[in-house]
Amino acid sequence: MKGQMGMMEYMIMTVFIMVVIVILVFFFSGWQISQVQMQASKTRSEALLSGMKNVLYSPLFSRDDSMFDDAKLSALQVKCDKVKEVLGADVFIEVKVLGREAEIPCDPYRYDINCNYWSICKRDGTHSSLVMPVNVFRNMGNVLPSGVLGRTDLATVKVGVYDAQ
Amino acid sequence: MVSAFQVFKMLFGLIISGFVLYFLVFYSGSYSQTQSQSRQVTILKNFEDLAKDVYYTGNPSPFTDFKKAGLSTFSLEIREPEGRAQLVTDTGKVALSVPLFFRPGEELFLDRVTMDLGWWEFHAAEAMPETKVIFNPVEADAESWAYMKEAAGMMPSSIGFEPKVTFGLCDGDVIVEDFIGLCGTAEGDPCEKEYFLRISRPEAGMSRCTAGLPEGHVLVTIARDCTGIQSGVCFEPPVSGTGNAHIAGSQKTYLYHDAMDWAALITGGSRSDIYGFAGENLWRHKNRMFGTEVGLAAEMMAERSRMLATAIEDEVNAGTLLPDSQTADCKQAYLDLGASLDVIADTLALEDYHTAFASVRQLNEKLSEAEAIYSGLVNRGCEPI
Repeated sequence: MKGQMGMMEYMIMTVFIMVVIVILVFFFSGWQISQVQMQASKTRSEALLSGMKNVLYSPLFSRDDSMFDDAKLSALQVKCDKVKEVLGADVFIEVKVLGREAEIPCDPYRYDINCNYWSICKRDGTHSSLVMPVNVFRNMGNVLPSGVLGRTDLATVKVGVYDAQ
Repeated sequence: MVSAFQVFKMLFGLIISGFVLYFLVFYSGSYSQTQSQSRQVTILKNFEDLAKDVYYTGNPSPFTDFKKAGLSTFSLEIREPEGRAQLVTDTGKVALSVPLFFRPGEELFLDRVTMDLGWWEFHAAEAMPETKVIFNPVEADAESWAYMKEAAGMMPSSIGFEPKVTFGLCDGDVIVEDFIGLCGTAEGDPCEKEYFLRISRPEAGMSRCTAGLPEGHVLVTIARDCTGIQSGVCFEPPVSGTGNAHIAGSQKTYLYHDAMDWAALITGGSRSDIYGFAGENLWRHKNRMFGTEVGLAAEMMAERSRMLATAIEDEVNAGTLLPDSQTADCKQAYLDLGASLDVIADTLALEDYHTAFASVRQLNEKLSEAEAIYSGLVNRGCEPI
């Protein structure tokens, strides 16, 4: 009788140990999943920062660091496929000149000093983005009879990354 | 007499101990392996991030994390057919999104080199361990001396940093790396890029280098005939900016069309692994990145030039800009630049533009033409600097 009770005690202990192990396995799995989710979020933030840095420094868009060139931006609006090769497949860029309410999109083939909005690789879809203030150099900012002078406008650049589909 | 209960207790103890022991050994083993691999992948990613920072900002920097992870061997793999390059180690691969020339090592120095095309600047990041670049300009005439300096100019400048990238000359069986009068530094000091670029040309030619080169040395021979090179890379002087390069041990001939090609071939050198010759892979990587980046830049700048030319014409037609003003004169130059850049973009769009002599020659001609037109635009005040 005493032996049977002892064996029962051990059986209960075994069940208890198994339950603890299962709980531990669940706990570690959950912890691992949360780590992976945090890593994915970190990777997304890093991709955004990296994309912003590339856009600000790349001579593709700017004439100096953080000084965008309006004619370059206009021309790049129809070069999305090639821009993706350089910046990454899911990146988009929007530049908007500050100080005007109405948004006037810039024509990719015709220079317009009055336009104030450029978008490169923009499409519908969920995304994350960063916005920074920048300067936009307007190549034909002030036209005088004797020549043309450039002008610098204050703008914001939005660099975004689309969620994977 | 041992009771059944005691036998049960012993067996039970053995089973539980075995289970716990197995669990601990299995998980601690796999956990430590995963952690080690994860650390190496993180370090590899950090290296790629730093290379990008150096590429975009131009700020040089050392990188010593490979030493912590015991990572000293990595290669460049070119993924076909798209030609994208990736860094490969035993634990992982990282795709390269910027031009990066490297030699493997535990401690590296990263710097950016730039090729100025006038209307565009093409950059590449370079990562080198302690390296001595030994030149052997066999004819030592003014032309080869100039090419040697041009090649050295495309290597990293490590003044004030560790590890060092230094330069020297080889004449027959003599290697001269650090000597008073040549580099202008104190005896024993390393001859770094800035000092090496100031050295004077010897009057006589040099003998082919026969000296045994220790680890960490790269031999760069410049000779009219590169047949039978035993070590490093060899360049034949160019014709119209284009020439042949050879890698010791490889039967192929590599066309070069600018100093950045030299930099790629010298940095890779004649090291080889399962992915092929490092020099060849870096040369392909450089030309692929050049084709993508400069091709897009040429397309974009051509559109921009035409757009500005049309805008100037519109202003003249509207009477807001005088037809004889300086800006009105810019119109034709912008149109010429656009036409020249169109040809550059078309040439770079060819799959293997860098391996065909005719396309490389045309590319060089048009790059020079575009540079001259752009320089004219800047000088006339059409293009603000």
